[in-house]
Amino acid sequence: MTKKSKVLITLIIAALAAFPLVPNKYVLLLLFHYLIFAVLAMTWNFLAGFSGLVCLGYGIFVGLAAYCAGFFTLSGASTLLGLVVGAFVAGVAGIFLAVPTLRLRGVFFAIGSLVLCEALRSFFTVFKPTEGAFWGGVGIPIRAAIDLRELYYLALLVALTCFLCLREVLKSKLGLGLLAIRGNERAAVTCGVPVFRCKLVALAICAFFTGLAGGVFYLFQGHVEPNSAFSISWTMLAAIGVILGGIGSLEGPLLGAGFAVIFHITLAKYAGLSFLIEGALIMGMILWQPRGVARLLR
Amino acid sequence: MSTGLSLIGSVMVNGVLLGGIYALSGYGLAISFGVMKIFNLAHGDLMILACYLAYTLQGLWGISPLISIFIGPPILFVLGVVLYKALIRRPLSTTPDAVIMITFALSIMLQNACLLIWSPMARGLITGISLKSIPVGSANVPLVYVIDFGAAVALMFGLKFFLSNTWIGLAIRATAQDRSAAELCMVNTEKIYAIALGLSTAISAFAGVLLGLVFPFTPVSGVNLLLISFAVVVLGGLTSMTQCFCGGLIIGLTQVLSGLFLGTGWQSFCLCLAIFVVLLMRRDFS
Repeated sequence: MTKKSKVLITLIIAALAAFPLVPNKYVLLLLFHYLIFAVLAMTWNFLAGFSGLVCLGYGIFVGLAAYCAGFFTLSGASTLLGLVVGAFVAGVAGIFLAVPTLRLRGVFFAIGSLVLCEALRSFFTVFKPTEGAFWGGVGIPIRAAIDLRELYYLALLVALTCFLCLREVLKSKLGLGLLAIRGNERAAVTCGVPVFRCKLVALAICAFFTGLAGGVFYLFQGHVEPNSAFSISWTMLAAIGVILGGIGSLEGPLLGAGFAVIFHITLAKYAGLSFLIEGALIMGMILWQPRGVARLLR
Repeated sequence: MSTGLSLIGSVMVNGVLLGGIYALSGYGLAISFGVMKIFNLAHGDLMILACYLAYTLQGLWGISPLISIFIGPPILFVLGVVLYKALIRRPLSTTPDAVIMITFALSIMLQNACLLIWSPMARGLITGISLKSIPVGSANVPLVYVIDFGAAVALMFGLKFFLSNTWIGLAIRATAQDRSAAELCMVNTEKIYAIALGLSTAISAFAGVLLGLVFPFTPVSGVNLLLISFAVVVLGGLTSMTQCFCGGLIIGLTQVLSGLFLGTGWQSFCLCLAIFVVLLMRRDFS
C-alpha cells in the first residue's frame, strides 16, 4: 500500500467517523447500510475472489447470527453478547458447510450453501419459539437500547475490523496459500499447501464477519423472520457489490457496496426491476469487464 | 394395525409417483450438469418459465396445457442455444466460477421478470383431467400423477436411447469426456455444447409443464425445483438416466415419509438434509 492511498484511507475513515455530527438522519441511514453491505461484499470477495469459493447462501451466516441475537433478547440476556455469540455460530455453520462440500468440485460448494440456506429457512419456519413470537409465531424480536448513531458506530467498527483483518490474513501464510490455490489448485497441492484447511479457515473467518454485520443490521431492523433472514437477496447484495466493484481486489468491494446501496435502498421502490438490472449488470460485467469498476478507475 | 399399514401403503404409492415427477425435473439437469458439466442454476426457473408460457397460452387462446407440453420445448431449445452462445460459451473455458455467477444472475432475473409479468400469485395449470383419479389398491391416485410418472419412465428410456444410440447423443458424451479428442474425431464441439444445453432446457420445459399440471407454482418456486433436481441428479450419480430416475424415487419417498412421520413442515428440511448426507457419502465428484 502506497503512502498516498494510506492518507486517502485515513481521510475516508475520519470522514465516516465524523459524519454522525451532521444531523441528517436519512444520509446516516444510507451510510449505515453502506457499511453493512461493505462488510458483506468484502467477505464475499474474499471467498469468491481469493479463495475460489462462490457462496450462494449468504443468508446462512446473516440469519443465524440474527436469530442468535434474537434468542438472547427473548431469554433476557444481553443482545450484544448474543450478537457476538451469533457471529461465532455463523463461523461454525461455515465449517459445517465446508466439511461435506469443500473436497468436491467448486459448484458443489455453491449449491451446498444454497441447500443449507434453504434448510435453515424451512427449519426456522417450522420451529417456533413460543414466548414473544409474532407474525404467526415465526418472527422474533431483537432489542437493544441503542439508537441509530450508536448503531452506525458499531457498523463502522465492524467494517474497519473486517477490512484490517482480511488485509492481514491476505499478507499472512494463509493468504499466500489462498493466492497459490487461486493461481493453480493442483500446483498448490503439489507444493504442500493444505488446500482444504486454507479454504476452511478462510470460510470460517468470512462467515464470522458476515454474521457480525448481519447481526448489526438486524439490531437496526428490530425483528427477524426466516424469509428475509435466509433470503437469496443477501447473496445478490454481496455479489453485486463485488462484481461491479471488482472481484479479487481489496478496495473493489468498498466501491461496489455503494452500488448495492443504490440498488437495494434508494431503488427499493422498484424491487423487481432493480433485481433485473442487477442481474443484467452482473452478467455484463463478468463477460466484458471481469475486473470491475475499480480497474477502470486505476 | 391394518389401517396403519394401508396408510403407509398408500403413502408409498404416492411417494413413488411423486418420485417419478421429481425424476422428470432432474433429467434436464442430468444432461447439462451431469453430462456436460455446465451447472445451470436457472434450471428450475426455466421450468417455471415454461409453466407460465403454458398458463399464458391457456389464458390467451385457450390452448390446453396438455398441448403446451409440446409447444414449450422448441421455444426453450432455442432459448438454451442462445443462452449458451451469449452467456456461457466464453467463461466456460476460462473461469468455471463465472458460469455459476452468470447462471445465478440469470435465475434472479427470470424470477423477477416472472414476478413483474405474472404477479407473485400462485398459479396452476387446470385441465379437464385435473380432478380425475384412479383407484390403486385402497388408495385413490390423481390421474395427473400417473401421467407424469408415465412420462418420466418414457423420457428415461428415450434419453437413454438418444445418448447411446444416436450420433448426436454419442457426440455429446464424447465431448463431455474429452473435448479435444472429440474434436479430432470431427465433432464440432462448440455446436454440441450448444445443442446439449438447448436439449437440457427443452427437457426442462417439457418437465416444467407436466409439473405445473400437478403443483401450483409461483415465480420463486424455481429455487425449490432446482434443489430437488440437484438432489435427484446427485443421488443418481450425475450421468446415468436410469439412476437419475431411481434418485427421483428415493427423493419422492424421502419427502412423503418425512411428511408422514414428522409433519409436512419438515419435508423440505429433510430433503436438504438428504442432499447433505449424499454429498458426504460421495467423494468421487471432485
